[in-house]
Amino acid sequence: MKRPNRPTPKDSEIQLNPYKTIMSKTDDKGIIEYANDYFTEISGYKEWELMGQPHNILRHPDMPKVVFKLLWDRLKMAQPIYAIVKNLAKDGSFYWVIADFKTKIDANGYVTHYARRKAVPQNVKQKISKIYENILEIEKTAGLEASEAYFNAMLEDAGISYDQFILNLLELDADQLHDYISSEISDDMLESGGVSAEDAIKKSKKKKSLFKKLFK
Amino acid sequence: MFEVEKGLDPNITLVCKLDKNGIIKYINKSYADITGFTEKDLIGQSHEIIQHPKMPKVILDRAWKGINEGKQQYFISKNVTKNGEYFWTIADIHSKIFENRGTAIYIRRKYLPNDIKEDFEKLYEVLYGIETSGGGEAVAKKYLKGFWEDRGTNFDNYIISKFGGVNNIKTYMTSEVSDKELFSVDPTDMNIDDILKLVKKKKKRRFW
Repeated sequence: MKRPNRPTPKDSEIQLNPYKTIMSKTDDKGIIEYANDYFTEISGYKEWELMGQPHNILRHPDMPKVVFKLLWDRLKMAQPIYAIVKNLAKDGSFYWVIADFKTKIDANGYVTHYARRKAVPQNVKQKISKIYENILEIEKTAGLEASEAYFNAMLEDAGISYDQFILNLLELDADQLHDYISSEISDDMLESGGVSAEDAIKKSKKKKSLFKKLFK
Repeated sequence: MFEVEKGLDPNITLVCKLDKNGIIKYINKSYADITGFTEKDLIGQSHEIIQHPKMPKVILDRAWKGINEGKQQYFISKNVTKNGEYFWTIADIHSKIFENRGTAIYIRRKYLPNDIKEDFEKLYEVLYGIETSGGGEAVAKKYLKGFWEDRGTNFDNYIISKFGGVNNIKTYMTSEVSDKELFSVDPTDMNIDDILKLVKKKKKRRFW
């Protein structure tokens, strides 16, 4: 199978529907095993182009590598993590997501990473863009180690952990962020629970106040 | 080829019986009427003759896995006629494993309701695309697993729930051809000549 060429980025943004969730499953190497309909709709790739491909075909050049290093350091230890990511669609457009990752290891030791991604509020996009821009510049001139040191120093100066940094950006507490991420696809559903999509959407409608807070 | 869809009367049932290699041993009249093939065309031939070329391998493999385990299963397939039309069916597949005589496969096919057809048309297109243009069969198999996980169900349960429960789907599938009738002829017992004789005899008795 030929790996598709990375598209040339262009300055056009795809806005996500905050009620919808981009979901995917990858193996321990980030190879896509499943992507839901909203994933293919937004990314612009057909299922046959995505399945079996490394997830980083969606990686946008504006993203600092250190974010993915942090992500994989956690995933390798089967620890959950949130990340705010600018993704590259097939046509070169970009879309921002707040992603949550969960790792499942089955009885045979087979590792699956489940990812849910939701819309990012406009003001958060502006704030994180500036931060990533600074990190990326250091990364380009001084390398990954330097950008990692810079990012860690930045968090240390603020006296917060990476997780708290994400929550602060979104102005949410941990429960609220979890409610938002799981509003359409609950934790149970993520690993084949018995909840129907209709039930989940009904539930997500109840969480209107949270959506109002995020997307005024 | 296979551009035109053939309509199916929901009241009719296509029955065929196969040996363990998928060789057709018996077909009923509706099967011949709809496919346009005669008994002479079909008996002794591989069942793949009425299989649409774009049926995903992962779906066919699943069916064979169930057959080899002797399990009853529901099966949705895109089929073709002798004239080059296509038609979708829902089937229930039964297999019986006989000692010393191998496996006998009994398939009852009926019209597939439109809303279910739409779902499966899309799914099969995706699977076929992954198998032939994308990452291959192993990748398609993983996608199918994720597809059901994402919907919190599995193949059989999804079909059953679309019909509104086990009883409804059973009533629909058995409305013309009962289990008793389906299992009445054991194809593994017979050679082709015997079956052709039986088919003629039944015709005389106006069995259909």
